Amino acid sequence: MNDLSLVQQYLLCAVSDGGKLTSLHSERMICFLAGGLLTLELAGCVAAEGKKKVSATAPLPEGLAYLRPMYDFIVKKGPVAAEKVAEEFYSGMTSKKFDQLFNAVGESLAALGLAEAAGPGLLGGRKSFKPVGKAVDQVVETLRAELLEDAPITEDAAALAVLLDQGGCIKAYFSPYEQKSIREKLKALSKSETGKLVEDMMYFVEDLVSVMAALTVLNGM
Amino acid sequence: MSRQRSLEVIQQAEYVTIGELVRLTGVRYSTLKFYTEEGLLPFEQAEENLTRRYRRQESIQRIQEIRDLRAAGRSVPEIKALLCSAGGGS
Repeated sequence: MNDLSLVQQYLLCAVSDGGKLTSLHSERMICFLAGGLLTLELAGCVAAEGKKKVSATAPLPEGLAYLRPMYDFIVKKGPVAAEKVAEEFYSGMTSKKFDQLFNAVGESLAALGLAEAAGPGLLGGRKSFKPVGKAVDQVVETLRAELLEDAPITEDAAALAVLLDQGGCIKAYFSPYEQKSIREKLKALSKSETGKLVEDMMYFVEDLVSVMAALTVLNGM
Repeated sequence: MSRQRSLEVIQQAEYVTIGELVRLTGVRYSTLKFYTEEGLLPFEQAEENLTRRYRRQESIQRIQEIRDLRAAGRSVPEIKALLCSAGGGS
């Protein structure tokens, strides 16, 4: 078992059986970008400011080199709205920047032997990264243990649960009963004194999914 | 709220959570929970909320013993009896 970042764990759980993330599941793609942003925030190199703007606060850790395009964009634009970051990397079916970011995260998993890369063919584009062996199982079982146990939840587990829920992937791994229990736990946590971060993450991802979905409709994609 | 501990930290820790045991052993959460409830996997309870914590080395060893016995065709009640008679059951 390796130490995987939030966005790496999300990718493993969000791709199809064939290892793809297609625009048929736009909310999964948006949550992938939200996962990238939250990974940077959890690593302490990006911080959220007022009005949901994000800015770089420290150098990008070496282990997160696959998020370099996103980090560099935030550095370049200074305090920038999270929606603008998502917009930069997500513009429907042929987003080269999204493909670059997705391929970089996928390759980092392939390098760890946790995913099998394939494609994208002569014209370039998005590759597929099929999870290997028990890679997904390990992520999901660790999350299950954290969320369903009567014990404090870590920020990492809460963030992954929020992304899987908003991305519509949670039902693939948790029973309806477990999903209900997880949502109740996250909701209770978000209302607690120590759960401000969970509340922020929930609103952040929900907002991003709604705004980007609206933009996609407006752009006719 | 705290951050998830890195694998390096977990591998040195005296006590681990059930989630960390999942990471260390690759055994499913439901299986570890079952072993715990059956008394096959001793734990201690700490802090105000009585969070279960497991001694890392002993627990990993115990899980391996259970796996080996399962692979040898022993049933869970048989394993329970064996481990209890060996003085390790709780």
